[in-house]
Amino acid sequence: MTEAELIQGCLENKRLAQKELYNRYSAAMYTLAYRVTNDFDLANDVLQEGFLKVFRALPNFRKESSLGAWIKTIIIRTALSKIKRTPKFEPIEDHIPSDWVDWGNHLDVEYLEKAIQSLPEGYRSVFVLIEVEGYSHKEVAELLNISVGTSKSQLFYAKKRLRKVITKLLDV
Amino acid sequence: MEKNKHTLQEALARLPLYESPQQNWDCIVADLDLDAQAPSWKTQLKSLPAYAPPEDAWEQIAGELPTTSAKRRKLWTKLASAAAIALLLTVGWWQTQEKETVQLSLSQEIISDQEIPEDWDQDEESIAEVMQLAANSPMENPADFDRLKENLNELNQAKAELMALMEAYGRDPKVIREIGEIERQRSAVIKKVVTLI
Repeated sequence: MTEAELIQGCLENKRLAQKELYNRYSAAMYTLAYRVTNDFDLANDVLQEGFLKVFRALPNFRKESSLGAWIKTIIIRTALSKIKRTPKFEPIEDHIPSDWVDWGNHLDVEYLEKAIQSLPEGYRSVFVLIEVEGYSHKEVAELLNISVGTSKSQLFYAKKRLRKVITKLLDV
Repeated sequence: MEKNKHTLQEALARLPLYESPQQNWDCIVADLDLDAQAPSWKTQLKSLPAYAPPEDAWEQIAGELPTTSAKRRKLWTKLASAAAIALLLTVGWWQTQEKETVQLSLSQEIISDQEIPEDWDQDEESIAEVMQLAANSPMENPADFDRLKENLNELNQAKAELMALMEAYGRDPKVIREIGEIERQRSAVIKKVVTLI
């Protein structure tokens, strides 16, 4: 089924098309919801609420982006609303220091996942949206209602914190 | 500043993907089913009756409005006088220019009370259907629904009494107005019930 057929089927409230759309995107959106909320129960709520919003708002989808990108934005906004809309940001200055974060030659995925989970809300949201989901600082600034400078500095400090946590995990 | 960013990017690409539990789709389907039922009562809402305000509504509103000050009244009197003089001059000039006469006619129709259709029973079925739907829907505050149901019963009773009165003594305008008022109140109660569903 093509994306256009899928959308048309959903617009006609055909359950098979709705299920197909859900099947195509649910794993990616569930993972994204989990990474933003850091909680599987909240991720379940986000997924249910988010997909209902998707099906209800589909008649308003103007095809200015891909269907996947549109669904992703809805899921992110729903996830952010679950963590009280604006994540708590660490009180840091909006300039990036001149020191380095070195990722070395290898990163263990299990440790990286654990380290992402250990990040404070603000750091984690910015890191996940930019590095994992590929959003720009401008888009993240709009989504999180922060400045581009704050997004950049939060990302830098998030990476520093990640590197530190991964090193600690390796030492243990 | 970052060194070996490719290492991070490669690791991020290998992060696990989590499968959503089946219960999530089941919950979504349940809500979509509710959505599918929604149009029936949304249509009913649109067909709920619209009522005209009581005849004396404007008099009551006008009575509450602040009166214009003497100064403003004086200004308005002057403006009105100037406008009247200008109008008279224009009409006088136009009459000297225009040879053909224009005849204006005015007619007035008086509608008899008997010609007004009795439409206050037309929505009984819709109201009963909304109440039935509400009774079968899960609610956060069932006590609110019980209170509204009691209000509706009282209004129904009052309406029945007035209908009996009208049947016994004829179509008195005052009684018709009171029935209209009861219909307005019933409509308000039904709207509140719908918000609980």
